[in-house]
Amino acid sequence: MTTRHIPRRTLLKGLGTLAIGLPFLEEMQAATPAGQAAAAVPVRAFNVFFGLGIPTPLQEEGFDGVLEPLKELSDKLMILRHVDHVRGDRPGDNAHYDGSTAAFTAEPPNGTARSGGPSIDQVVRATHYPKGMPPDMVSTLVAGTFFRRDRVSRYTKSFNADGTVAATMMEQPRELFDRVFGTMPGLDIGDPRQQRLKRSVLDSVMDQYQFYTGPRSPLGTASRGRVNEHLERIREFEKRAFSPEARRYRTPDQPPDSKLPHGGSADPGGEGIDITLAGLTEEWHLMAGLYALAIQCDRVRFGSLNFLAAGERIRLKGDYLFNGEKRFHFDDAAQRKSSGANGCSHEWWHNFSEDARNEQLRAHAHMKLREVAWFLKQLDDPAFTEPNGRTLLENSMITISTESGDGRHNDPKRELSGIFHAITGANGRFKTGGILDVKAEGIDVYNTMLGAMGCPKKLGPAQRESRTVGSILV
Amino acid sequence: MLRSYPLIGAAIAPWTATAAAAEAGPSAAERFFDERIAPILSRHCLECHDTALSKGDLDLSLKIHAMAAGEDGPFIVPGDAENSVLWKEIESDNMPEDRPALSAEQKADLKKWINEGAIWSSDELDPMAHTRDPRAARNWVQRLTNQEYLRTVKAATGVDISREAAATLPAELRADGFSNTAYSLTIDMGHVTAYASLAARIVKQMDLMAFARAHTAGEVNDARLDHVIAGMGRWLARRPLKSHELAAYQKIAASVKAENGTLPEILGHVVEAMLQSPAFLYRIETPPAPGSDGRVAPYELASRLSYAIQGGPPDAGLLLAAETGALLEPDTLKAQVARMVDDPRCISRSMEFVAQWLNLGRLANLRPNPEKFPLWTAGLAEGMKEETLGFFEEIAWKRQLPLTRLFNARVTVATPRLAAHYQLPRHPALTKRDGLLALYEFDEGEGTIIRDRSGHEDPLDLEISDPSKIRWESGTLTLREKTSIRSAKPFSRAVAAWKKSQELTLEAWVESADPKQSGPARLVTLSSGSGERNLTLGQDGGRYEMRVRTSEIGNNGSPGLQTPDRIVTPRLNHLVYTRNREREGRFYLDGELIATTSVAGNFNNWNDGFHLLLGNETTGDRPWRGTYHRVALYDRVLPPDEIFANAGGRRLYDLADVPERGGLLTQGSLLTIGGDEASMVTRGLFVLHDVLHSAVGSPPPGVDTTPEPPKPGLSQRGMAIKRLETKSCAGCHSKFEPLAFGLEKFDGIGGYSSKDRHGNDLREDGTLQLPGQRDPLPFKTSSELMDLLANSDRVSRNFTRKLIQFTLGRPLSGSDARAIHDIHRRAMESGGTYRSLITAIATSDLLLTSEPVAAP
Repeated sequence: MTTRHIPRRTLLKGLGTLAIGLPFLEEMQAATPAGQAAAAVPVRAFNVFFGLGIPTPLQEEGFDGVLEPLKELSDKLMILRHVDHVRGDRPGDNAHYDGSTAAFTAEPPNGTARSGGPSIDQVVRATHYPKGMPPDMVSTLVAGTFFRRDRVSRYTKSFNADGTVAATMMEQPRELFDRVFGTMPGLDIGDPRQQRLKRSVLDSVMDQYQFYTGPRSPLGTASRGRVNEHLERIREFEKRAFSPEARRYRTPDQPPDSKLPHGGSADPGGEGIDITLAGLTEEWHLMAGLYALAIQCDRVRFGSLNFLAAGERIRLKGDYLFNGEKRFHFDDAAQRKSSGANGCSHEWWHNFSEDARNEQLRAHAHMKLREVAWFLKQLDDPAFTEPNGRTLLENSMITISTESGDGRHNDPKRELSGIFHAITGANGRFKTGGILDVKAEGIDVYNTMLGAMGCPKKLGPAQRESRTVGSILV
Repeated sequence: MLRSYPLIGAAIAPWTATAAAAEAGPSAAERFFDERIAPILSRHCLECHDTALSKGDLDLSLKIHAMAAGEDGPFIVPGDAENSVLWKEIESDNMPEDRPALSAEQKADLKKWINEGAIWSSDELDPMAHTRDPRAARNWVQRLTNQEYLRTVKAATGVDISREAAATLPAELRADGFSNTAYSLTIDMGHVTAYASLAARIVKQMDLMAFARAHTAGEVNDARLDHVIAGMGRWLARRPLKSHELAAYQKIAASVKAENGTLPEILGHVVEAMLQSPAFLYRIETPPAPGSDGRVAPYELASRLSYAIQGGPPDAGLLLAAETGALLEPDTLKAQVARMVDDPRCISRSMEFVAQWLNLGRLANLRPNPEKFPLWTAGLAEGMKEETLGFFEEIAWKRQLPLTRLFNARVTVATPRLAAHYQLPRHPALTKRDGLLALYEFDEGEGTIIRDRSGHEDPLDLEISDPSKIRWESGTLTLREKTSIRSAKPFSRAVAAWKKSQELTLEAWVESADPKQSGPARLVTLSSGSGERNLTLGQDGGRYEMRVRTSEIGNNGSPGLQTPDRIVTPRLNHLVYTRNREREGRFYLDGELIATTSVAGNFNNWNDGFHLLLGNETTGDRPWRGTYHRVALYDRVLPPDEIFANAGGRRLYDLADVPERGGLLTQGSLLTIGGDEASMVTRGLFVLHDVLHSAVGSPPPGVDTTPEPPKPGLSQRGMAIKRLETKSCAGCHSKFEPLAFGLEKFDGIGGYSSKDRHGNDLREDGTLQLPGQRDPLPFKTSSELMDLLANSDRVSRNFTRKLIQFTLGRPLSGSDARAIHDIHRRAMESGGTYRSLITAIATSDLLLTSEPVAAP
C-alpha cells in the first residue's frame, strides 16, 4: 500500500474542482507466491486502450516519431513491437471489432457484446482475489473518454472469464466519481432506527443472493456467476451505505458536469461528432485524473481505461501543442474536405500509406500517446511511492494497447499484426527501459505476463501450447 | 420444493412443438454436424461456395446442392471421404483459396463427418447461427430488462416508477441485435443502487395494507404475518416462496417488531426486500436434471409465457393455472396463450421487438449534416420511429396480415412532418372553430373575391386586384406573378378581439414557388407599409419570419421570430405562429415546434385601420409567389396538440398513388441506416443481415476499402458497380450491394428524388439474389423489389428467427435449427402473422423445455 507520510487529504485536492475526502484503505496480501514476493505491495492490473492504432511502420521510428510522448517514461515502460493478434480475426466481423476485442484478451469477439475470453486484468484479479475484492473496494473500474459505441468491445476493455463485460462503463467524470467516491443516493439516513431497519432489509436481500450462489443453488455455472456478481455489488453497496468510516470520509464535492456528448448522442448514426482538442482533453484529464486518484486511494486495483474508442469517429479541431511547441493544427473536416463519417480522423487511418507523409495520422497518434502518457504520469507521482520504493506506475501491471497495426481495412492479417503494446514493470516482473521487437503472438505475450503475475490460467484454447516470451521477463 | 407434474410430455405432444422429433432429439451425428462441421463450412467455405457464387458449381449452403456432383465427381460421397471432391481439395490445401488452410483438427473433423455418412442436421447452413460460438447461446439467468422491470413493478404493485427509473437505472447494451440478450444483462453498482432506491420509492407509493389484503387468503394482521408474507411473496416472486426466502422475510418482520414497528411498517420493509430479491429481479429457473424430459416447471412456464408474450409478469389467472398444474395441460396452455396474445400488452411487447430489431432508438441520436439536410429535425426523427411502429401495428395487429407484408404493404402511418418530408398528399384540417376571426379556404374556384368562412356575421372578405396574375385550382389559389390581395375593409373587428384576448394565432397552409424570394416577401400582412404593421408573416429566403407589433416593440414588429434557414421548399407546409399572454412567440412547421421567442408588451397599440393583405405589402414592393391552401386567424393560442391535429395528425396514408413508398425499407427509419451519403454498402449489409439472415466475410487482402463519396458523374450505384466489376470485391459485394439498388432514389434521410445532389441520374432497377436461391430475380422498381422480398420465404424465416431470439433473450445457435424450422412451419400454417408466430414460439419446445444441466 502507499506511504502515508504526506498528508493525503492535501494531496488529493487540487485536481480540477475536486476535493476528495480520504477513503478507507484496505491492506491486502497477495495470495500467490509471486504476490508474496512483492511484499506488501498490492497486485494491480490495468488495461489502457487508445483507438485506431499506430501503423507498424510508424512504430519503427521509435521515440523519434509518434512514440515521442512516451520517451519521458521510457525507463518505466517497455514498448513491445511486432505483437500479433491475427487469431483475433473473426471472418465477417469488422476489423475494428476484432482488433479491439483482441486487445488484452487475445481472443476474437463472441457475439457483439462479448469477448471470446477474459481480459488479462481480470485473470490477475481472479487469481489474486478468488473470493472477490474486499467490499470497500471497487471490484473493477471501467472508464473512458470515447464516443463511438455501436459495439461494446469498441470501448470496454475488461472482460470476465465468460467474455461478458466486467463492469459498467463510466463514461462521464461524474459517474466515475460517484462509482468510486460517491454516496449511496437515498440512503443517507440520519435516524439510527431507520438505519437498523434498512440494514435488516439489505441483510435479507443478501441472504437470498447468497443462497443462489451457495451449495443448494439450482443454477448452472454461468447463472451462478451472474448472481454472484450481484451479491458482490450488494456487499460493496452495504459497506458504502452503512460503514461509519465510509460515511464520515465521503465528501459531496463532485466534478463538474461533462460538456461533451454522451450516450447515444455521442455516436449519431456512426457519422461522427465535431469536437475541439481543448474540449476533448479537458474531459479526458478529469476522467484520467479521477481514475488515477482511485488507484492512489487504493479504491481500485483492476480495470481499464480508454482514450477514444476503436474506430472512433471525431472531427477534431484545434492547435496541437507538445511541450509548449505547436506541432499541428487539427481540422479534420476541412483537411478532408468532407463532412459526416468521411470528414472524421478515422479516415486518415484508412488512407495510410507507407510512401506518404501521413501528417494527420501522425499528429492524431502522437496526441493520443501524449494523453496516455498524461495518465501514466499521474501514477508515477513520487508522492505515492510505495514501501518498496517504487511508484504506483512501476508496481502495477499496466498494459497499453490499441486495435490495429494497420488501419486500412484491406488485410485482416496485416491489420492485426504489429499491434502497439507497452507494459510497465509490474513490481520488477517485466523488463522496462526501451523498445523490444518481441515478434510474438499477443496470446503468448499475455500468457507470459500472466505467468509472471502468478496466474495459472492461460488465455486461449486449453490445448494450445503456450510459448513463453522470455524477452519481456526480468 | 417444486412440485412435479407427471402429466406432461406425451399429453402435450399432439398439439405442441416438435412432437415426435423433439422426443427423439438430435442424433449424435446431427450434433456433430451442428457443433463441428457447420461452423467450419460456414466460416471457411461459404464465402465462395454459397448459392450466389457457387464457385466450381459447389454450393454448400443447401444440403441438396452440396450432395450433388460437379465436373470432377461428387463433392461429397457419404461414407467415402477419399472419393469426395470436397475432401480432396481441403486435404491438399487447395481450398480455401487465398485463405489460411484448415487446421489439422478441422480436417480430421471433416473427414470423420464424410466417412460417417455426411449427416446434416437440417437442409441448409445458417451461417449466422453456425459461425457463432455455441457458448453464446448458453442459457443464462435472465435479469429483468429495464422495460420488464418497469412493467413488472407496475403490474405487481400498481406503481409507475418509470420517471425515477429513467434517471437511475443504467442503460442496457445492445448485444447481438437486441437489448434483452441475457448474457449482456450484467449487473453493477448502478443497478444495485437503483434497485434499492427504487424499491424504497415504490413502497412509499403503495397502499401496503390493501396490497397485503389483495394477496393474502384471509385476514391481514400481526397474528397471520407468515401467511401475509407468503401471499405477498407468491405474487412478487411469481411463485410460492421457498423456505429460505420466507425465513429471510420473517427476520425482517422480527427486526421491525423489535423496533416497535407497526404492521404497515413491517409490510413496507418486507416488500422493499422482495423488490430487490433475486426472485423478483431475475427470472430464475431450476434447470431440469440430466435424463429428464426437460419440461420446465409450471410456475417457471408461467413466467416464460408472460414475459415472452407480454414482457411482464404472469397475471393472477396464469399463476392460478400454474398452481393447479392446469397450465401443463394442452388445452389450458393453448387457452392461456391465446388469452395473452389477445391482450394489448402483447401489442406493446411486439412494438418493443420491432424497436429493438430495427434499432429505432438510434433515430433520436442521428445528426445528419445540416448543410445537406436542413429539414432534419428531432420531430422528423421521432416521426420516422412512429411511422415504423404505427405501420407495424397496422399490418400485424389491425389488419392481421402476414409479417412479410411489412415489406410491401402500400400504407403507412405518418406525422405531419414526415408526410411533408415524403410529400404525401395532405389536406388542411380544422379541428376547432373556437376563436376563429377569419378563415380563408380558397375554395371559390373563380372570381376575384375570397370569402371569409369563419362564420362571423361581419365577414372580412378579400379582393384580388388582378385576376390575370392568379390561378384557381381545386381548393387553392396560386399567385403566379406579382399582385396583391386585400381585405375589402379594415380588420378592425379582428384587431379589437386581439386587443381583448392578447392572444394570437396565425395559421397558413402554403407552398412557396421560390425558396429564394425575400423582402421578406409577404404571405400574410396586416400593415400599412414596409415599416408599419400589426403583424406580418413573410418569407426571407430560406426562412419564414413573423413580425408582431407590441407596446414594447416598434411599429415595425422587428426583430421578428425566424424559423431556421433553408426550410422553405416548394412543398406544401403548414405554418403556425402563436403568441400567448405570457409573451411567448412560437413557430410551428407541419405540427412541430421549430422556433420560440419572447415577445414583450401587448397588442394595445395595434392599429385598427389596417387592411389584411396576402401576397404583397401595401406598397406593392414585397411580392410573394406561391399557393395558398388555407389561412386562418384566431384570437386564442392553439395548443400544440390542436396544431398537430390541424397539420394532419398522425394518420394512416394509403400509398396506392405513391409508387415509391410502401414497406419498411422505404421508410426513413431504415433508409437513414446508409448515413448522409446513403451508402449502398451499409444499406445492403443491413438487408443481408437483418432481413435475409445471411452474412459475408471480411474484405480480402490488398483492397482499398476507403469509402468514396458520390460526385458528379459517379452515383452511389456507379461506385457499387465499380466494386462489383472488381474481382477482389465482387465476391462479397455482389451478395449485398445489389440489395440496395432498389433504394438508390432515397437520399440519406429517406427523401425521394430521381437525381442526387451532384446531378447524377438515380435508378431503382436491379436484381435480387436471395441467399439459397440460384437464380437472381430481376426488378424494375423499388416497389417490385419490395414485392420480391415480401414473397420470399427467406424473409419470412428471418422474422421467425428474429422473434425467437428476442423472445428467448439469447442468440440462436445451430442446435436450435430443428425447433426454429418447426415453429416457422406452424406459424406459416396459421397465416404467418405475428399472432401465429408468437403463438408457435410460446408453444414450442424452446419455451416449454430447458436444456438439462448437471448440478455444478
